[in-house]
Amino acid sequence: MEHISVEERLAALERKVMRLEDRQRIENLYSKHNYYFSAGQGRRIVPELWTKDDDASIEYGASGVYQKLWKVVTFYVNFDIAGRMATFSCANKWLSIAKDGLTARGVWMVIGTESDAGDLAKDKPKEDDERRVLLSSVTEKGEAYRAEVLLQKHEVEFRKEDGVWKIFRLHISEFFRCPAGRDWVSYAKERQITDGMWLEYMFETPDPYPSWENLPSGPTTRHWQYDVDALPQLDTELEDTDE
Amino acid sequence: MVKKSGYYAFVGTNSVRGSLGIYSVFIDGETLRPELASTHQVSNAGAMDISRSKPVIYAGIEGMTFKGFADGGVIAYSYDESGTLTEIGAARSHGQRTCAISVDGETKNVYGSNFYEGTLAMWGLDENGAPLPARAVVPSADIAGAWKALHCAAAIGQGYVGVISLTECALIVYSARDGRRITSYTFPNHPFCRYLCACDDCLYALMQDPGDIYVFKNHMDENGTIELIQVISVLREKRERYGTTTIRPTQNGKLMLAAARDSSTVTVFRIAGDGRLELGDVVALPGQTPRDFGISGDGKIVVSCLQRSNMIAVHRIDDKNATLEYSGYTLKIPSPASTAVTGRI
Repeated sequence: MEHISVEERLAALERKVMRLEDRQRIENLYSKHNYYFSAGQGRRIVPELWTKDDDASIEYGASGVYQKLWKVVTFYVNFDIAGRMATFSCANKWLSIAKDGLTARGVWMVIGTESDAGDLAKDKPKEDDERRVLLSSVTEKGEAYRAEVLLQKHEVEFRKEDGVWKIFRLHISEFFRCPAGRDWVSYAKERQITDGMWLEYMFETPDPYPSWENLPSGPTTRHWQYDVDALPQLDTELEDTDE
Repeated sequence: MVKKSGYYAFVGTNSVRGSLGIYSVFIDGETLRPELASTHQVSNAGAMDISRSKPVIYAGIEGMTFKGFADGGVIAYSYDESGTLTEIGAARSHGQRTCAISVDGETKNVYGSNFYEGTLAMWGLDENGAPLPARAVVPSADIAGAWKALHCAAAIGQGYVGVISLTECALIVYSARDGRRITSYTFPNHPFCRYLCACDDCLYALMQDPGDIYVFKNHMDENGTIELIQVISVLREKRERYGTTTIRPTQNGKLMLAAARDSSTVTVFRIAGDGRLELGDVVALPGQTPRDFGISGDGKIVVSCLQRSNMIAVHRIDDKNATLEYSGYTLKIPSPASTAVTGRI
């Protein structure tokens, strides 16, 4: 049996502890991200949780890549509208930290919700309000609102900056979305009519944030969404780089 | 009740500011007053062309998603006497943001340029004018350090298709049959190139900045070449930014119109016998940012999409004086980005 000195064993244990701490911190970081997002605290997410590196990027479904921090901000900063709420709730975590302990990748499956009280709110959207096209449910009285369920995959790249883990890239794949009273199979074709509006709306922001033709910086890297004619795809391999 | 005679303008919009998709607008043939006839929900119909032989329009989907794919595409719609659109077919473009659409004179082929990836899609059309799956997708050149982007595709007769490549800063002509590259012209001094149209035996390539038009004699059938015969600006005086968007000839081949966003103008040129352009007038529009305009099938009116002002405006075309006469009418439409106008019906 190979002889290992006490010092070497101690150093190995310290490395292990550090990696476990790193895992814990990354998990907490992303939990905080989803908690802020779900609590209407989008404005805090980029300053507090994202890298300071302007090469950062975010991609949502087929949105294309929004690169640079000011474009990332436009995903999180929403119009403050009573009756609107969006939530992320993570499950099925997979996390891998690079051997140098400076970068990491995480993949989560996420159940999301999207709510917009629309005509049920005291302050109803105007007839020409662009939110209207996204109000996918309607009451018997003809009042439109949005109450959707989404299944997503969040693929995240993390970086350690000055000893603190930060989000560097986020790619959200939207497997399906459908109104809560519907199912995603029968809704698969219907959603395609508003997919484009949904993506554009997601990156529209109130003044003084940029909202005039906030185009992505480049094309979509990869995209899959449920369709009645589509087979599931594995679009990213989960390769462990942990020691 | 006497049925009014007039035109339909089909106006594609960006999916912002309450857009309801494509707007069918009836324009009274006498007064040129526009009124909304109907809307058809679709995302980001940023490009449009109209068949010369069938009641069909073609919309290029300038968004990031098309029928569930991360793709652009073309959708064909038939229109009836009330201007109501019915989707008759659609096909993917194999590149996102389909920013220009061009149907050939015989309604046998339609071409689309994809801003992202820089691909050119070539679709055959069935007997109803519906697009078949792309028969060819021409890739962009792969040039180190250059982005892959295509800004325009235009049918050149039945045999050729021309594109404006931002990757190569060039006008490139391909065979319409198989997408084989035949000839090209690289614009000097790296202008930001934008749009292309064909008229009689000439090609007109419009630069976005600076706002110059390159006029080429088309010798494709004789020897597979094009010959530069003129470069002319869209404005009388130089300015820092032009933001030109679209260039289109009138049906009778007498006038050429070109729009500039930064000056919010449409310039009217006379087309001389040899195809060269002579500046007639620079017409100020009653709103900002003409992203596109459409000329009616009879060459009598022009409908401009004033994107930033969220409205369209209607002008009468004055062939004799090479100018436009404002009808006095506009119509509110959110973020109009493209249009196609019928003949008088």
